[in-house]
Amino acid sequence: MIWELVKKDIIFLVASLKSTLLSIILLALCLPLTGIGFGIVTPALVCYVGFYGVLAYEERSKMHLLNLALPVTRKEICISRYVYAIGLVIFMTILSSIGSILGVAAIGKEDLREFVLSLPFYMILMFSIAILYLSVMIPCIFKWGTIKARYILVGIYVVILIGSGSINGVVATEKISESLNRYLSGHNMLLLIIGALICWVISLKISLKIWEKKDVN
Amino acid sequence: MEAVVFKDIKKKVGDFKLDIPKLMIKKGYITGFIGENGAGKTTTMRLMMDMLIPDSGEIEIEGMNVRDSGKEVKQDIGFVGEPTGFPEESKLKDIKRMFAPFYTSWDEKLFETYSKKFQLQLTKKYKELSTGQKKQFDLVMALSHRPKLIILDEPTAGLDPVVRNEILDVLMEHMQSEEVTIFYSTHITTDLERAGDYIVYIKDGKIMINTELNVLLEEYCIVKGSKDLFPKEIQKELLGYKISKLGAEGLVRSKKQAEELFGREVVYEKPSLEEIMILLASKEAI
Repeated sequence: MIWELVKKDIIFLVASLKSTLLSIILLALCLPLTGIGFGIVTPALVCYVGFYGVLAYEERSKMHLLNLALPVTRKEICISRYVYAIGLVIFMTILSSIGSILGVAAIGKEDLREFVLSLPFYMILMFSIAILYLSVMIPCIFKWGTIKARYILVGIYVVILIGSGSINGVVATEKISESLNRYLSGHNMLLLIIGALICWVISLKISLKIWEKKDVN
Repeated sequence: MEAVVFKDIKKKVGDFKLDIPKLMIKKGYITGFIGENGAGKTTTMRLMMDMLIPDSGEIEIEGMNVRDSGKEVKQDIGFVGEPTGFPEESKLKDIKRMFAPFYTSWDEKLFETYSKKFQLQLTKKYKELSTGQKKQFDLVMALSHRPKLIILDEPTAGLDPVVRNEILDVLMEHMQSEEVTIFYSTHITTDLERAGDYIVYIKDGKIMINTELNVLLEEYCIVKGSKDLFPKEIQKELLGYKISKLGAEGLVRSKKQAEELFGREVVYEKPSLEEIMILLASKEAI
C-alpha cells in the first residue's frame, strides 16, 4: 500500500495542484541561473514547496484524517511520505542540474566544460543538502503539524538561503573550476552522501516513533 | 458476534474525558449515536478509526483489534467524517482515482450506479458541489467498496429534507442488498426514528443509554405536572427534568416507575425521540 499512497500524493499534486507543480518546476530550472550557490540549494528550497506545501494543503482540508480512514497502517503512511519526498528530491535535483548547466553556460564555454565534468559531484551535493533539510523537516511536520512546524522550517529555510548567498559570494571571486576542484572531491562527496542517507534513516525512525502514537485531529 | 465492541475505553482530550467501559454495536442493524454538541460523538468515531489513540482500553471491529489490525479492519469500513477531508481542488474522478485503489473490493459499477442516482458530474471539482452533493459524493465513496460497517458522522447535517431523504433512502437500500451495520451520529432525531434500530446516547463522554429504539419510545415516559410535584428527592429519580414557574416535566425509564413516583397527579405522555433527547440533556430547575 506504500506505493498506492505515493501514487495518491502524485495524482493529487499533478491533477489538483497544477499551479504549485508548475511553480516548483520553474523555480528548479530558474533559481540556479542566479548562481552556483543558489543552484546547490535549489532542490532543498523547491522541495520545501513541493512537500511542505502539499502537506499544508492536506492539513487545511483535513485530508490527513481521510488518510487514516484508509486501509493502511500508520507505518505505511509515514514511509510513503519519505518515498514521495526522496522522489521529489531526485526529480528536482535533475531539473536544478539542467538549470545550473544553463546558468554556467551563460558565463563561458571553458567553465561549462569544467562544470559538466564535475556535474555528478554537484548533483550529489544538491541531493545531500535537500535530503538533510527534509530529514529535519519531515519529523517536525509529523510532530507539530504544518502550521506549528513552519516557524522552525522557515528559520532553516532562511539559513539555507543565507548559506547559498555566501557560496555565491565565494564563487564569484574565483573561477568556477577552481571552486569545484577545491570542494568537490570524490572522498568528500562519498562522506556527504553517506552522512545524508544516515540522517534520512534516523529521520524516518524518529517520524515512525512520533506517528505511531500521535492523535490526529 | 457484535460489529463493534468497546472495552474500558478512556480518552482525555484537553479538558474532555471520554469514558466508555462497555459498548457493543449490533451487527446488521442501524445504530443511531446521539448526544449534544461536545458530548463525545466525534471523539468516539475517531477512536474507532484509529485517528485518536485511547489512553486505555481497546476497540474491536468484527473481532479484530483496531490498533493491531487497522489495515484489515478498515478494508470493510466505509467512513464519512465531518469534515470528510476530500481535497476541494480535485475533480471527483481524480478523487476516485486517488482512493479507490486502496480497497480490494472496490466495485466500479456500484460507484457509477450511485453517482448516476445522485446525478453527480465526475468532471466537477469537489468545491463546485453544493453541500448536499458533497455529502452524496462522500456517501458514494464510502459505499462503493461494499463495506460491512458504515460509520457516518452527521451525514445529513445542514441538508434540506429532500436531500436528507435521498441519502437515507440509499442507505436503507444498501442495507437491504448487503449485510451491513450502520453506525451514525446525528442531531436530527426524525432521521433516527425513520432509520434506526438501536440508540446510543452519550453525554459528557459517558454512554447514558444503549437500547433498542422501540424500547426507548415505548417504555420511556414523560410526566408533566405542577412543579410542587417535583421536589429534590423526586428529581434524583428522573433521567432528566425541566422545572419552570409554569410547571414541570420529567423523563422516566418506565410508566410503572412514573406511577410509583407520582401516582395519578401528573399527565403521562409517550415521548418522541427529540423530547427524550431534550430532557436527557436537561436537569434544570428555575
